[in-house]
Amino acid sequence: MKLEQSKHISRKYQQLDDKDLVRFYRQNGDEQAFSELMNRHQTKIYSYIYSMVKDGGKADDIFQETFTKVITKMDDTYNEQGKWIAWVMRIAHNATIDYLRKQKRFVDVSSNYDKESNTDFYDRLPDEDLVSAQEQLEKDEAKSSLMRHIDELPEEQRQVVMLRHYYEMPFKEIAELTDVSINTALGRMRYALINLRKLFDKEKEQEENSYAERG
Amino acid sequence: MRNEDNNDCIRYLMKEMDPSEELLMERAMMEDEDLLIEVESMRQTLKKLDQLPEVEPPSHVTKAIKDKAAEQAEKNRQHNKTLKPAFKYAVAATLALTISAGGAWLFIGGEKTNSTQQQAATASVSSPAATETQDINQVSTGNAESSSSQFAGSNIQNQPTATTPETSNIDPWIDREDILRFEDQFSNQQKQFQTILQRSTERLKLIQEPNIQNNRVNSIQLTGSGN
Repeated sequence: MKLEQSKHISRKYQQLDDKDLVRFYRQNGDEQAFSELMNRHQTKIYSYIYSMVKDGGKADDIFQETFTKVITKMDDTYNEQGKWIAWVMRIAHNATIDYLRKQKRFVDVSSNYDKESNTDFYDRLPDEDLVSAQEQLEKDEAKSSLMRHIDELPEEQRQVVMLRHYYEMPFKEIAELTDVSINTALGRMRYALINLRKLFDKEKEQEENSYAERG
Repeated sequence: MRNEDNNDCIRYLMKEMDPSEELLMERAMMEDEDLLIEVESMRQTLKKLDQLPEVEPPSHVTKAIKDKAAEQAEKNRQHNKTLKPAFKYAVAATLALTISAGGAWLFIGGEKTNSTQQQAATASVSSPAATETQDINQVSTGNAESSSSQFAGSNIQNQPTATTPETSNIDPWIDREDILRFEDQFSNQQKQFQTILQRSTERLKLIQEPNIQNNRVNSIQLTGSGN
């Protein structure tokens, strides 16, 4: 009975939009509303942070820092007119950039290896039981090569690609978030795609050469 | 090709164009094969981005955040509980202050009005006594000046405070527009007052040929654009 009731409650929250959930949490301190908000967006936010810092431990810290700010500053700084997720993403993005600047290093482009946790980026991915082992391997290889190429992009281009991919953020918002004009943001995306194409072409050429050498 | 034109490829692929712009872009691609190849090539690369993985945050991190959110919610509830009575008290105190200040203001205002009325009484009493023997015309003009100057400076100094039995019946008053009435002064001299009225009426003449023209513009002027 209780379980059904809780299911019903959670279904009710699932039907609400972000704005209402935020209002419930702000006005009534409704924890379930906040949980629903987190469930909706946590993966994308975490993926963005992780793809930028390439370090599980640091990604955890930044993710936690982001949500701590969200919880404590929601009453003071969040304006209900704007999208809640855009506001959260701004916090996450700023925290990520701060971290990268503090470290005074850019992400190691040659490896996805996470030194602290001794795991690779793909070790953290959920298992897909339905996909056969061979397909999974091919998929992983494709993903791996994609991530490798994305890592080779300049940071500004990578940011735009990630913000667009994970949030389908309009370029106007990306431009505001990264403090550039819309044309610059569009230009960065275009160069990112051109560079990625070149990298894929290069990879393909190398593969073909190695096959030819073996043959 | 300009940079903005190049960016149009991205805007087209990302569906950030108006339908009319999209139509123009498609027309341009039909006419320019290079542009078509460029857009299709970018579309292929963009498709590969769909394979970008999504990473779940560790459960202990999300749990810690949810706990923190619950804690903050509790804090907010407590804060609201303490803030609401405080707010109520503040409103009550403000209301009480406003009412008492208003009451005090009314009381002081009433006191002032009384004192002014008393002063006015003494002022009007002093003037008719002094001018009773004079010509009525002089009385009317002279008293108006003297009494108005006395009222204008409401702090009357060296005024006689004692009233004679003759004037004790007079109850002068000041209206709020500072118009002084002297009829009380003539209440005991009806004959003289009637004479003044008669003389004044006799002086009035009918206007035979009015020279003053009314130059007012009575017509209505319409304004606004012709469209």
